[in-house]
Amino acid sequence: MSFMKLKAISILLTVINFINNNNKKSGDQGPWWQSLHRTMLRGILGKTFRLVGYTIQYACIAHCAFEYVGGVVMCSGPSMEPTIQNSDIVCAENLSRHFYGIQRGDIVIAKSPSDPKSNICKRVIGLEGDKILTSRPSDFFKSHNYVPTGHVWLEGDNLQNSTDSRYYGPVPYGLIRGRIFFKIWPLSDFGFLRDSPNGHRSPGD
Amino acid sequence: MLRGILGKTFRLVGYTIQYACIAHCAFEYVGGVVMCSGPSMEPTIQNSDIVCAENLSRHFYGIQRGDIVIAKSPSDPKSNICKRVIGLEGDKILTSRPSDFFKSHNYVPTGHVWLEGDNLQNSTDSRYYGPVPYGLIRGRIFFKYYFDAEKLFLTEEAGERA
Repeated sequence: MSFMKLKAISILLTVINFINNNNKKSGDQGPWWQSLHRTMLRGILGKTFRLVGYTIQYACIAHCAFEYVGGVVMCSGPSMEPTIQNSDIVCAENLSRHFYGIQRGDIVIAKSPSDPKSNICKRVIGLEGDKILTSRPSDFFKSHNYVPTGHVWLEGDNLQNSTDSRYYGPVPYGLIRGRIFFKIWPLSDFGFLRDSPNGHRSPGD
Repeated sequence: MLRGILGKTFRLVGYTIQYACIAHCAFEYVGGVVMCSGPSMEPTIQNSDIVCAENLSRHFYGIQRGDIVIAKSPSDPKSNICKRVIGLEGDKILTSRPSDFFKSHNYVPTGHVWLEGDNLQNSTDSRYYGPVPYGLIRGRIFFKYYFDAEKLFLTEEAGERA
């Protein structure tokens, strides 16, 4: 309640200030409530529009910076251990995606194919046209699949505990949002990210 | 003199970046004008038609069955496709041709939509590349311009497939 009172008092003071300035400038002798309305509306509306304008301007610039250059991301979940642990903070850059420079072995952030509201963070195992080994090591017969055009095959480093392309299939390239290239937290693990601990999964290697 | 020119150049670059960012955000979050090419949405949208697309429905997850959407192509991330939403996640879609003896159905997986062009004989759509993830949708088309300055709202439903 005291906040509302403070706001009312400050508005009143602003209004009185504006009225004094206005009367000094023009010497207008019209009815006092008319000049009150005019100055109050003009002053407050003008200030509000200017504030909204600046906010929209800087929000747009910040959004474009995060989308086209990169940003800092916190990862959660066990699917990329030991490379990225739960609650690690990493740096992602978005330039590779726009210039189609994502390569095998990169760790990428993508929109989840099964839930458009959340993001996933996996390693690119295969690009379009690659032959991927999709059977488990315990299977007797090995089965291969080709990654269709415009898609990539993503897998987490922690193969036992990762929902990835082995579960929902190849992911369209258009869902990729950025590439992770640097870890900044925890400080004990500061630096560039390691290669996949699982070796190569395509039969050509 | 050098300082003056450098200063002016930096200011110009600064303003350009500023307005480019605002324009980009406007096109991405509000909407824009798009030219469609290809025969896959005839007769609703012809080749070289100019349409208005809005992007608010996508961000608020308000895309519904029967909407015409623009999406990134699943088979080519550099190009966009323009199709109608036939089914949302969980819907049962008839995927067999009318000439088949046995009808086959599929369910649209979570987070995906089933897209088909209105011109079924000449359209590469979900019947070819499968359900499309919702994250690839970029906007919804709601308005078409005629060159004789008459406006027509897109309300025709070209066949039910679910």
